[in-house]
Amino acid sequence: MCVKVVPDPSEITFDPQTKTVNRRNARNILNAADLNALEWALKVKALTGATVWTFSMGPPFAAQNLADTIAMGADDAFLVSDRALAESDTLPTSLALAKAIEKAGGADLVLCGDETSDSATGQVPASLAEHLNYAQLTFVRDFALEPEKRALRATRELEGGQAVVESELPCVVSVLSGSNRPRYTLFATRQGARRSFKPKVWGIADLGLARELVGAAGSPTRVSAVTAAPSAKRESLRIKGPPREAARKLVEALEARGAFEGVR
Amino acid sequence: MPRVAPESRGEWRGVLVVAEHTGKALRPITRELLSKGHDLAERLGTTLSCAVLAQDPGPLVKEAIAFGADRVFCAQSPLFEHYNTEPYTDLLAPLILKERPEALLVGGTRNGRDLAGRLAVRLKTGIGADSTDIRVNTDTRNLEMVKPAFGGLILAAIVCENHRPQIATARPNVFSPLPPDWKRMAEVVRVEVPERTSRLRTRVVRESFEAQGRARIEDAKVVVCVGRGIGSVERVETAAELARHLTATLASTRPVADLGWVPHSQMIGQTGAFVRPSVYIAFGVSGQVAHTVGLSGTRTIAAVNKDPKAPIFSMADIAVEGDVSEILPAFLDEVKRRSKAAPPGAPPEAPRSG
Amino acid sequence: MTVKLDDEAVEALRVDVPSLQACYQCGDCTAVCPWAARVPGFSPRRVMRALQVGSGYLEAELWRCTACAACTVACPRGLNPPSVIAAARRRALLAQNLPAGVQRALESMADRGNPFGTGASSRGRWAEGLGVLDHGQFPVLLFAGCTASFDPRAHGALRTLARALQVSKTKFGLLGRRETCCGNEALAMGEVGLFEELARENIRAIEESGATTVVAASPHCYNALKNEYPRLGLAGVEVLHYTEMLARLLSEHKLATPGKIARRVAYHDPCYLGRVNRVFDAPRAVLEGAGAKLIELESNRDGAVCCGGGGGGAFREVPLSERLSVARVKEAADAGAEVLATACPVCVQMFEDALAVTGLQGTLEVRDTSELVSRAMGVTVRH
Repeated sequence: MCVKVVPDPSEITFDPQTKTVNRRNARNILNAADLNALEWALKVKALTGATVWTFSMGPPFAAQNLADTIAMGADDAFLVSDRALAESDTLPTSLALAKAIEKAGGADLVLCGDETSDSATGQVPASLAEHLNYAQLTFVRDFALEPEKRALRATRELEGGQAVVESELPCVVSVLSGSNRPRYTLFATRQGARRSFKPKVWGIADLGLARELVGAAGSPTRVSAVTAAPSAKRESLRIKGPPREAARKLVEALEARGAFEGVR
Repeated sequence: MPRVAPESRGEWRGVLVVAEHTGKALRPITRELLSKGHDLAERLGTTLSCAVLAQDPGPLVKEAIAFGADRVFCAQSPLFEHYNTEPYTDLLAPLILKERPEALLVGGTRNGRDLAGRLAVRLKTGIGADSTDIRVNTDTRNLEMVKPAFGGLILAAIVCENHRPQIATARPNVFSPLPPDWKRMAEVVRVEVPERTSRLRTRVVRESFEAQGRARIEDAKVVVCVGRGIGSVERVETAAELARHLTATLASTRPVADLGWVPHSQMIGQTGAFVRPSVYIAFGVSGQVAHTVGLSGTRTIAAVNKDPKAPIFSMADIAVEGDVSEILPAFLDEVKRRSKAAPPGAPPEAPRSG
Repeated sequence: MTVKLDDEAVEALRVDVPSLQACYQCGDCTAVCPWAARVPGFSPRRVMRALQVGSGYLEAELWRCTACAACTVACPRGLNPPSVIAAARRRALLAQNLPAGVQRALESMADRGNPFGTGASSRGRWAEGLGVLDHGQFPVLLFAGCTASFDPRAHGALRTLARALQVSKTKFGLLGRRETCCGNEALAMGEVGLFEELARENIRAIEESGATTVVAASPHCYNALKNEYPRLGLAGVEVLHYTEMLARLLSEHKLATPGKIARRVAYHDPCYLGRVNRVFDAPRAVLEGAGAKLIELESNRDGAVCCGGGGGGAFREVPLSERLSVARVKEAADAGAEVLATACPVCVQMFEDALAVTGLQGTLEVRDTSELVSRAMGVTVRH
């Protein structure tokens, strides 16, 4: 299954002056939805005796977070890491992950979190499935394997409703954040894994990926500009005065922060 | 193919919207995208097309034209009874390679994102995902797709300069639909659905769109929260009405849940639910840390309390000092007034940009 | 479900396993346990029995204990059920048998050094604008603790405490962002490994500061620093609770409290300060020095009833009928108190919550002792 190491969302700030995102205070943690995916993988393991491998694409320090997935119960972990991969958008990211999964021998079920807390595109699972030529089921709230049929049945959660779907294996499944409660890992177990476990690290050469296919060169999109979102600043606006006036000012202030987007 | 040299960019023209529908009618997101697409097509001096894949496309085609499509590609098959990744991708990819739209607009809905990610790889192109605004540079014909990132902390502008089509997904309720013009005429192109050589790998067993009971509070986008300062169960009812008008979930702190005024399942806090809404509006909540730990994912926090030193004010973006018993009803009135001023389907204001 | 003691935890918690056999099931512990009185079926005596014989016991019940130590004091054999329970809890953690709130708190302590999920970088923010040293070396260290650091309600108390120390011309400093969770609650919840990691981090920071006296704002931190840190290496340091420090300063005339409070104040002995660490008189001396008309509640000192916040209690959802804090605020109000004073930020949190539920806001005030002292000193601090 695939995890992404992201900076701790509670510690990220944005400097509107230098237009940079400040992650200095943020320890690097596993993306929350990916922990749900890992928990699903471990449940499947408990039921069927399957092997669980975690894959991640990231800088070398992500090895520590991959050790945490071992502490939680995964059997092995693979880190795709290479300077050439920097500035990759979802196309080369999903390609690299797909190549790594293929190199490791493929999988019957690939589990991912629905989206990440940093870039939040939510595109990687579908892109990954296309690279691998696997079936895909996205935004799944829960699922059950039907091993004899080499299939699975799942509930996808859609806006205002849901769809019960069936899919053949191999299949890429992206699960909703909060779709289960990830198991607790004892601190000592995590410490132990961090000390002793080293993931396999593969660069683009190991995966047979040409330079032009990855990084900025391999990315159809790029970020051309970054600005602070209007609602990002926590300046406290104080409103006082007679109730009607205060209520009106409250509505205006909420509108100014885009709070009524999506409300009709 | 999808990586297009600047000289050949001229060969890719037009804006294409992929329709999402209920089988009988277009979903609101599609109407919104058609409006935005129409605007982009105008600026680019080109046409807007819509791809309708359905078991019974007739009414959907009419609707697409009424909402702004100059041309509709219509594919009819029982394979399209429900959205399904494979049949959609297998039909749309060759269609796009043939018709060469420079921009492809797909809903930032769950099905839309399911499709976009697959199509982008099939077509070897890029996506500006979950755009809250789409601008266009008429010289380069490049879209500038603006989206929030890092939990809404920043806005990033994404461009897809050398690949076509540029795929943009947009969240529902970001763009406003134009009023329909049922007298419009447009070209309808029937697209043949080739026989499948292989079995479908996934299939939809059933879809259901009734209200699935109360939505989980953890998924709420807007929260109206009441604390002990709300004062009475009658006022909780007013807050509940406000929540309905704001399409919000009603939540509470622990004392209010203990009093039985709001169900325990709607309690936010250390021993209750953790929420990540865009907006949280609190009435009579003092802001004990046991409650506020449940709010750390919130984008905008507004609080009404009569104690100027209430701890909640130290984390609120908008702090309203005043009596909840007076401000709550006044606020509800303002909200009702505001939604009367801009009902759905009426001539909209300009699409909101970030 | 068999509950056994975890060997590692047994060692870390110094549970004397052979002496477990000394428990002769007298039931004195259950007689004084505040939870046994409220929760049918919960009984420290049965927990001890189950652990003695390794027989089944509902693991879910293990999370009721708030480590108030009423049982420890009552036990004629000198046994310590809370540490035995903590050792059993470690097993429960491994078996995924823990309430969601406990899991969240522990994961947050591990990732962010506090149980609240707040970013670690905002830890020292409560002291902004006070001009207190938070780097380098100083003889006295004020250890703020998580609750006081992150709870805006507690900031007032903590800031006035810091001001009081400044007024008394005590040379002191803070660890600021180098302070991390004391780990007391982690230990009580069975996370021995996490506790030791947090402790080592704090010990390193304390050593670097060169402080020879550490003043803890919270009795929980006080307990960890005084009783658990020495075996992990903390040496040559006098550990005080802030009320002991204030009592000392008052008796040395380094602090004056001219503006007498003159209110009827009931003092609640926090479990970790009073019953566990035997500090009963210092807070009373401080309150009387500030002019308070002290009322002794019927269950006080050794017999004080826990507020319900310790041992992970603050992280668990407890039904209204079982909440100890509710009974306590009612007791104070019935005794004619105008103020319920305590010396622990967790107690303050639990009692403020109880005020809201019982509708006693306006009738009864809840105050940390430092807030009353500062008022009497005429010390005010901008929030």
